[in-house]
Amino acid sequence: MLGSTIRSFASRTTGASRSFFSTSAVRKTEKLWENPWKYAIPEKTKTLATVEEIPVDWSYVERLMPIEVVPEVPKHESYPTPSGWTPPSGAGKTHPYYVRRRPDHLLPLYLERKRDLLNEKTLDFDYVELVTVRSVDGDVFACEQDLRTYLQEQLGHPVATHVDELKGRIKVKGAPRSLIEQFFYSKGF
Amino acid sequence: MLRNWRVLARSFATTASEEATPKVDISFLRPRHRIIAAGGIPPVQFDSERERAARRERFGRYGLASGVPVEELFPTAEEIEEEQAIGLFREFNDVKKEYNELQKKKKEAEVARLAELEKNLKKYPAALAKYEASLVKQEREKDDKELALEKRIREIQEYFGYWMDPKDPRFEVMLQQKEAEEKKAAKMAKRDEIQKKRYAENVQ
Amino acid sequence: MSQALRSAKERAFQIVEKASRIRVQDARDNIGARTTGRQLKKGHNQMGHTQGALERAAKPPLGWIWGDFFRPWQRMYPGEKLFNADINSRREYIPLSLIELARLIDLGWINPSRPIDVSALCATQKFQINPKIRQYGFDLTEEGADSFPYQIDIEVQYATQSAIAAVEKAGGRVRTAYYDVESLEAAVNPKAWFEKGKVIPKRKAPPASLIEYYMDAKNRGYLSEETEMEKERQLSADVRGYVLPDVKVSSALKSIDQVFHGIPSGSVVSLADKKVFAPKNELHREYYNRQVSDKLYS
Repeated sequence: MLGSTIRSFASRTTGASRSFFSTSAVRKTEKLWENPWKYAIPEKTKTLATVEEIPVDWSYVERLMPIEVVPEVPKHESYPTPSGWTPPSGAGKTHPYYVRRRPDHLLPLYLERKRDLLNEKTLDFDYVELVTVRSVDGDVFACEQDLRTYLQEQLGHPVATHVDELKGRIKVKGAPRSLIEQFFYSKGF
Repeated sequence: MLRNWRVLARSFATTASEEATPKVDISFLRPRHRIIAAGGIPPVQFDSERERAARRERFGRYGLASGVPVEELFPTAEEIEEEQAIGLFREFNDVKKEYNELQKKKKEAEVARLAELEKNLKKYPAALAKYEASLVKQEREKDDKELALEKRIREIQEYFGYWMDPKDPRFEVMLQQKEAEEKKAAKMAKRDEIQKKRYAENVQ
Repeated sequence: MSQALRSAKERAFQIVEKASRIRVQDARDNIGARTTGRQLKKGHNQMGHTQGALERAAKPPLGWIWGDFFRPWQRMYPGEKLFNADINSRREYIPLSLIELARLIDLGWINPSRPIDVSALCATQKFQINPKIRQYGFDLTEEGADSFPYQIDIEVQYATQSAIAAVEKAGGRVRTAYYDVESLEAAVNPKAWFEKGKVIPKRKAPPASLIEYYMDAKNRGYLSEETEMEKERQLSADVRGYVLPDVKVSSALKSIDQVFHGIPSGSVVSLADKKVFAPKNELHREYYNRQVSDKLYS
């Protein structure tokens, strides 16, 4: 930052901004060879703004901050809510299996897209959408049975499922995630 | 094995008040990191921290207590002037004006086109009739001039057995040939007639 | 709990509970956990390049698909004027359906009594908008339009006609607003922006290619006239056959150059001191007052 001076806006003058002498400190007249850069490069001034504090409602700033903690679900008059969400009820405890909710109050249903289906005509692989139900405790096979019968009844076509008992997971092919969600909400999980 | 950990461990203090009761710290953190870990503001030590962006970030993190004046965060007057001199961004009012003018021109063009179409629509029946008339005329035109030509072509065809383009130079030649032959035939016919008459006279 | 209905996980847990403390010598691999590599008879087991050779070799260029080094995938196929001539200037809008929005409001992530804009949606940390890869904001889609009950004041960057109609039918307000790249960066992550000590940018007006969209009242563009907007609202209601509710949204709209509600542009927010600073000299005030348009291919 050789040869540049920082000024506040009040002391700025239009004509003298390119002078070789700074206003901030008194310097002895230097010889050319002592500081060649000072004479080679024109002096750059930096005129800063004058700043004041402005009154602002701090709640406007706080609402911009990212939400770090899962918010509490507001009280609704009736369930299911407009988007179809239902809180877990005691009815879930009567079944031989239990599907635990996620920390953000949602069901553990995850979508997966695999390029797995061989298209016999084009001999290329098409995408298959699978839904994974993850945190199933207890008799996973009974859960899968109930789920499969419900889905087949609702959809009218067979639905493929796969059970991973050790992990407590069920993979479903051929059913939309919203329908599976509906099933679990109806059971009270 | 840390046999002399008591010697190696240092006592640190984040603020002056804590120097009275020095705690033994075995974390081996450097003074700067000890301050940061305790939530304090580290002093400016490195050249990179004296850069503009670093100073801005320092203010952003620690606020007024960072020692960076708020004025430095805003662009300098020179920078603003430079930006305006470069003129990378246009005034919104200009763009808006241009857009409105463009829309107006489009609308005018549309209106003009519709008017033109209206006008042409009015002329349409007359134009259609004219065209249909022109089609009919084409059929009669043939009778006037080209009938004779067609007759000639037909004669040639009949006489020679193949079609000849009237513009072809051979056409005239063939025509003359044909006429010559016809004349000859006529002559021969006449001669025959005269002979017949003479014979008839002689017999009688 | 009867014996037969316990899952394998729970049975395994029971076994572990009753078992003695595990020692190092008790830990061993399950059957089939490790396999030794196949020994090739040919070439001293050196068939194929070694890892070192692969690491030191020149790497094929991006898009090389087992062919000529000079014909990678991106050079194999010519561009088509109508297909991908404008691939580098296309803009992406992240879809946000009404049912997603309803779910967020149901679970308390978004407060319907406050105005919803890009910042409010990104504060939920459920959406990733990256202005650096030409993502320009949210696109309000109509899935869930049949039963959207909330009265909201939402500001997105693109909205389909059905979505607009659904929100207005419920008594809400929709606006489409343009955020240029710098403003979007600030709006998407305000915390990071303030912590870097950056000045809140002045939102630029849309470029010539987009100005038509945002000046059209049909799209509820923020640059269109209020009277036109009212006409279009009524027209939507008439065409789709619903009645416009009398309830009107009371909260104020953002001004054209504002990025955040309640905080003027051209100011610096200090989170540590809970203070907001703005310049007061003429040049800077004028600089932050004049409205500019964004570049054409920004």
